Amino acid sequence: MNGFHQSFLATAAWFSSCGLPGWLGLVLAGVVFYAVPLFAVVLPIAGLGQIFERKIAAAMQRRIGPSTTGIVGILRLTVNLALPWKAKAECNRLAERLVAFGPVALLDRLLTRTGVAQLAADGVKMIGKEDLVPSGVDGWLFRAAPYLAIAGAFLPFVVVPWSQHLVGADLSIGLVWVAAAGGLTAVAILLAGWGSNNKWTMLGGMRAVAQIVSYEIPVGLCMAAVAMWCGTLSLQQMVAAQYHPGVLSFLGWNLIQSPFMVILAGTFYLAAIAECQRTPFDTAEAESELVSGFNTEMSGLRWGMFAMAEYTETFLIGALFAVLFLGGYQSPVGEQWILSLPPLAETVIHVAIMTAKCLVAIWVMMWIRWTLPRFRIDQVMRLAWLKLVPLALVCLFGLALTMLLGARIEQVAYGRLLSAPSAQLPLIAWALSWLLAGGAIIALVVAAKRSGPPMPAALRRLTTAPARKA
Amino acid sequence: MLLAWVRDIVEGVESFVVGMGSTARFAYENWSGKATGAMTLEYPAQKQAMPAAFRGHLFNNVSNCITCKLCAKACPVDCFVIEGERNEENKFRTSRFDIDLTKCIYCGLCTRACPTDCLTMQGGFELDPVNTVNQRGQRFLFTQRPDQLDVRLEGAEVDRLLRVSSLKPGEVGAEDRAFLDRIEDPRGTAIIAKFGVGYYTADEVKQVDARREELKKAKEAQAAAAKAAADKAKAEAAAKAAADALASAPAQEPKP
Ligand code: SF4
Ligand code: SF4
Repeated sequence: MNGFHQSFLATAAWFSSCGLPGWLGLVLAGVVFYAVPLFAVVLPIAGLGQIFERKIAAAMQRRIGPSTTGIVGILRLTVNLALPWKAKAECNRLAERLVAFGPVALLDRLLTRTGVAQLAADGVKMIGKEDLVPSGVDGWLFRAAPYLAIAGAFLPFVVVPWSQHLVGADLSIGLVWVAAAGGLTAVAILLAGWGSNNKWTMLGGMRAVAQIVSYEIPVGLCMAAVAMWCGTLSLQQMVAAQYHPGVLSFLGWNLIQSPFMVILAGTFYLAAIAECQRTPFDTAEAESELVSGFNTEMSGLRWGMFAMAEYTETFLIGALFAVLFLGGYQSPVGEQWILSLPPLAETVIHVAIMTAKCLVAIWVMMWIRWTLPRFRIDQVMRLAWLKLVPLALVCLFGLALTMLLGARIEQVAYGRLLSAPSAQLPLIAWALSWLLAGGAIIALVVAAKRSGPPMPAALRRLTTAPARKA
Repeated sequence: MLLAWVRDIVEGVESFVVGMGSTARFAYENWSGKATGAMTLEYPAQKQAMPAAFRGHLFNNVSNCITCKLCAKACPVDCFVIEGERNEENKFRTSRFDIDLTKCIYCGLCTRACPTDCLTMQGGFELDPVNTVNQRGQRFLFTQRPDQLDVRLEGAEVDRLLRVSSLKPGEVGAEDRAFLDRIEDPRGTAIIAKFGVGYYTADEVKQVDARREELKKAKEAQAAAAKAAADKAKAEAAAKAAADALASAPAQEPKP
């Protein structure tokens, strides 16, 4: 990675030697060396995420999902765009004959049934649409909003570590950067809502901002708790703090350090979903109430940018969740062995593991999306302020207590202080914290369940598996 | 109060887990092929049989039609062009029965009006202008039963017609207009140009073909006769001129 950075600096210097101002050279080199690879990796993944989501939604709703677009379709599209009227029929026939050929047919079937080819069709459709700027909109705001949304989705990726060597910039204030850059999305949505000069977009934009600002707080508290636990704000060091030598390296992951961490993980996940406006928290879009909410007036590529930003953000949440709670790019077993590999092999393996973790997180997000109906805006706000914020606060204090206790135990048992930034408690403290905190939480839950009337019959019926139709 | 708060959260989590479980079950059953799987019908590949009373394309069994035109009167959007004529035995029969299916709203009023029940609605609902090919390899516009249409177009003409028909009326140039005029129904109306559909039985098509041949032959014969007459007149005129020249020549000769 160092060599990579060196060549980046060299290129920047070369740009400056061509007579460009220094900052412009840096920006251009940054685009070539960092932005382009990032886009080249994240954009297709975000696009694939969309297809992935449609397939999952289809499965959960007893449908098939995208299943028709294939090689013939893509060829036809190309032909119809590129060729004059006369040749089209012949080319269509040619395309059909081509797909009758064995290997092509196999590939076609793969592309078709998985819906991947649909991605190309969607992209072309989006690009081909008229760039509509309705009269009466605030042109500047309306045009700027999609770019801001994309920026807000991509900027946090700068600090996300993909392996020991692969990270855009390992800022010492990594988490703060994520929160700050991610905040751009709120601005983008508000600009889109306000600039469109339309009552639906206006309402959607207002809701989005209210929601994002509210959910920043539980998200921020969760991040603060993890940062406190790991003793650092840098994402790279946070991952390092979760390193556990030995075969079972997942023992070092934050998620299983304390019951509070589990609750924090759930809180963070929910709040992060709400922050990126996905169902069940998509009150800003709310098709059933607000047409399409903040992006009602957006069409074609502008709309596409918002969609891309949304899927990139789901990816970001997956990455953050992995870094904060699941040991980042580390493998669940045998991390020690992977670290001893040469840098290239290590990077490849770690990127694969990180991507897998992200995909699992995204998959769960989609699962939630197709399970829960949309909340009303007041329910959304109530969830944030009355449930998630107190929960995150309690867990923050719980974690702090655990750390104090752990330090005390370590001092007593081992005669030394808990060494920052080691996030892992000594075994005795770990077991004690699970016993004490876990016991307290379970006792509270049982007491709470006993305190009120039993679960309504309708809900109880739902919890038992429904009888299958013969 | 604290307990109520915890209770709220616990119940929320519980019902959330239940919901997630049910969607997961659906996804699992769908992917593993258990239970009913997907309910989607992949339409062009898989087709569903239409129910008996489905109101699809109209079909006229012309041999039973008495050309009463009650259907045309019943139609709220004027789809019909109907003509009758007497056949060789001086019996009345339908010589033309066009329904413009692009106008039709499939209301079925015409079938109710029909006294002989020869006009019915069928199960078909697809109109494919390009790929409908009959046994002769000829393509037809907008009909499920191409052998019943009496205007035929070859591939290039179909393409041209599709292009022309997508123009706005003002944009149709003189050449295209001539093209539209050229492809008209032999009975006199450019039904294709207005995207109508003619329904004829196979026998009728043969009759139309025969009649078209007859007309062509008659026209040719007429032309030949006219040409012969013209030739004859020309020859006579030439002969007369020659005779005149001959007659006048000797008279003039002695003059100089
Ligand atoms: S179905 Fe209705 S609209 Fe169509 S031809 Fe018959 S009467 Fe006219
Ligand atoms: S109502 Fe029936 S019989 Fe009368 S013209 Fe129409 S199709 Fe023929």
